Amino acid sequence: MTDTSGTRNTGERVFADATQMMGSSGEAMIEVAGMDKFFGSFQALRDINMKVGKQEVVVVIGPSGSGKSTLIRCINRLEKHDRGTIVVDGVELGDDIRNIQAIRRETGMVFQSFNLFPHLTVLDNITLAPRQVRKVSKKEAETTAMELLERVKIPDQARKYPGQLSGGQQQRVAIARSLAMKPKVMLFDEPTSALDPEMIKEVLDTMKDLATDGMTMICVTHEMGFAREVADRVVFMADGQVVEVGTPEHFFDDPQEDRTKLFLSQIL
Amino acid sequence: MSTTGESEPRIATVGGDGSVVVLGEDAPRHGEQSPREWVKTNLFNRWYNGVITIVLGTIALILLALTVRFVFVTAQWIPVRANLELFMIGQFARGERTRIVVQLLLLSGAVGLVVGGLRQRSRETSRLAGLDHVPTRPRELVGSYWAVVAFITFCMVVGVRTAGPWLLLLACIVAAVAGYAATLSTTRTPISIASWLVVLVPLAIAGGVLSQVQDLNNQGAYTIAIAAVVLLAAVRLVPRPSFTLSAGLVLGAASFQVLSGTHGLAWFYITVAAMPAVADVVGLVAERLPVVAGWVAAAMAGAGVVVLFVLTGGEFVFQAPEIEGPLGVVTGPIGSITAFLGGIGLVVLAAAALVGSSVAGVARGDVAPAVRFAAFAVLGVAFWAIGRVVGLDGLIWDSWGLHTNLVVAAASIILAFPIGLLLALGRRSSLPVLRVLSTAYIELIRGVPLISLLFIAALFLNFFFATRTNLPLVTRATIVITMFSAAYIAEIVRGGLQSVEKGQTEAGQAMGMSPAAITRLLVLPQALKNVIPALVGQFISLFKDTSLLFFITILEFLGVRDIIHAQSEFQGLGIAETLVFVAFGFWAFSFTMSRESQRLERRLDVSNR
Repeated sequence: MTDTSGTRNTGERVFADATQMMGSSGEAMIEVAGMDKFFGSFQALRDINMKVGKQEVVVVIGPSGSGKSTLIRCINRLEKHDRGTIVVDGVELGDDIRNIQAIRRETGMVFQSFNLFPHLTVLDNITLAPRQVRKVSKKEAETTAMELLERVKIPDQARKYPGQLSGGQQQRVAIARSLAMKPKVMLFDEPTSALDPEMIKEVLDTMKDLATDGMTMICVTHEMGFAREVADRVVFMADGQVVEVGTPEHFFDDPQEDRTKLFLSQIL
Repeated sequence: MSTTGESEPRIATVGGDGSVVVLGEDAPRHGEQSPREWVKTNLFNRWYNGVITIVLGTIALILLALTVRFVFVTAQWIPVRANLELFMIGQFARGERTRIVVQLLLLSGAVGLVVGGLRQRSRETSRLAGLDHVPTRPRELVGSYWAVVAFITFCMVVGVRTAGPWLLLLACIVAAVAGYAATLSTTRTPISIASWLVVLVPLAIAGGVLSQVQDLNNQGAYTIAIAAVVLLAAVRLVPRPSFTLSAGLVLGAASFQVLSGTHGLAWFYITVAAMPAVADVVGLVAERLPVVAGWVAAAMAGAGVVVLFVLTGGEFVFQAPEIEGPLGVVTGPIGSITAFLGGIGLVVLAAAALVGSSVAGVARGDVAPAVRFAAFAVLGVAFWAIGRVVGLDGLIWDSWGLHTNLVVAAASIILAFPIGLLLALGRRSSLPVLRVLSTAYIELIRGVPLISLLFIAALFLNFFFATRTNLPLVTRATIVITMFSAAYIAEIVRGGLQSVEKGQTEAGQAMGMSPAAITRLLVLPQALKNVIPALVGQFISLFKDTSLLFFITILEFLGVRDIIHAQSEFQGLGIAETLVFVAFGFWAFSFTMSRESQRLERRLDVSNR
């Protein structure tokens, strides 16, 4: 990464690096190639190329409006991409609803605003999708749910409604809810941005545990400490493009691009 | 929390019957201060507030004094007193009045069962949630029902001078208590069963004795009553909320079968159709996952009934050799077969949907839909079979005073809600045909005054049906009011659907749920909860609109006045009084609906903080 001629024309250089996986097995879980995304006439994503290996943790950072969230929302088709290909676990994301559903089943997502179902108890929140989508029996789903609640350390909240929990607890329920579908990939869309500072840690700890257990993860976050500690790779985005990719050490200690340096100087 | 503006304690509630679960510490109450302090801080805290209090308070006191003087001193209640029965049941045939008695008894029993079933469900929810079950506070019930009680009391005190109605009132209370008592205990100790039999056996004996009175010509009605008692016994033995609720609903439907007769299969279909719909309303209310199959079944079976009516002349298909519709006369077997396929096909589809939801429920390890289905299927068939054997003739639905208002309103609410729901979903559908048709229907109906639709019902709705159909005027009016309300309900529900955050849908999508499941399980329950006030407002408006039936010559509550004042002895006498009485009646029921909806909102509040 020696090309410092600016951010706009570095697509080619970045391509090579962003597709270089760090995962232990070397197999790709997610492959994004040449993806563009438009909102009307506004181009939100420009020629995104990215590979995420099995058990790899990729942290995506960047200024607001850079397309980070749009990127991961395209991976499970909450947004439809306009050009390029997205392949998740060998299934290509197209207009075929069956492929979309297949990918969504294998892909958990955690939202900034939790999006728990307020009219259902915590337990029902977690068991709903396994029972509906995976056709798991109620009893089995509840057993799994309780295990997951143990794992996120709030088993005693199972029968409460989301409205009765703190923000951090809600987000941990949301993580448990995603895990209940036994996904192969977890997508985190700024999971701590809506939380009070004292609750951020409990959510990040849960995510760290998950990474330690070998979950493939893509996290959009502003938590640089988390990125440095947990990420296998850090992807920096600006203006809808991938600007720079690297290991946390390289990225934070020796950034190559001007845009990256500017961003880091503003936040650190 | 509540928006009633009262000084409510901080209370959140769960479950179906308004049982309260107090969360956290007791919040401070206003009641701590002395009355003197309260007056000072609330009424005279500023000099201009003091002036307002004195002026408005004086006016209010004067109005109160005038009202009291009017009600107890100057008013001529003689027209009301002399015609109370006319107000209540209009031109109901004299020889058939025992049916009304049986209907009221069955209905009271059904109310008891439903209230008890909701309580069972609420207890279960609380137990599962690990929260304490706190029963409904009497204050809440008084707050909801005092208006209706006041109205009934007024009627009894002003208008009743024989023992009969008092005895009936007493019997209704006993029936309601019996229904409720059937749901109370979940244990089956000898004592609890014995105490239960003490209530049950006399009821059964009374029904049996009454059914032997030959000249009443209503044995069928009493047989249904006895069957109802058996039903209560069954409820006692199967203490499951879904069973209790279904039983209550079947009993409620049976109470109308007393009037409609047991020959018309149509009523059986309506009974079946109403069950899942109402049960699922209850399910939504109780925060349980609704079963959309039930809704689909309700709509389809409802449509099946309409098709049967339209194509067969209101008689069962096999007896309709000649069918005349808007396209001309269809005679012979083709007409019958068309009618048969149209009607029965829809009913079969409905049944299939119900069976499907039950099977799917069992597959998921959730037996509630299956229990519910089995309960109303078995009981519905049983009631129908009993009716076939005993053979109770139906009455033609006619001008029955307040009874007509209440039944038309209830039927329209029950039918219009699922139709409106489907229209709302249709208007948001991605299928252009559904969307355009739903939108066209809604906009067309909303652009026309109800009274003009009622005139259409009165004058030429029958043109569109087979010649043999000749639906009673009240039935046609009910169809029109249902169609009219469905359009408004659709818009209310659509507003509710739009009020649910996009994130809810996305969360469902992200986990691979199907669009239908997302709508049914995530969006609809929240949407409906958000629009309870608007929905109930529409229901209240619908109830009041039943007074418009007066203009198409139906003798409903308001129209009874005309008959009364046409009699020479009441000409010009107590005109204001009868009008006040009618207004009081409408207000009492409307106010109760309004209060109950506020209670419902508070109850559902627990999940929304």
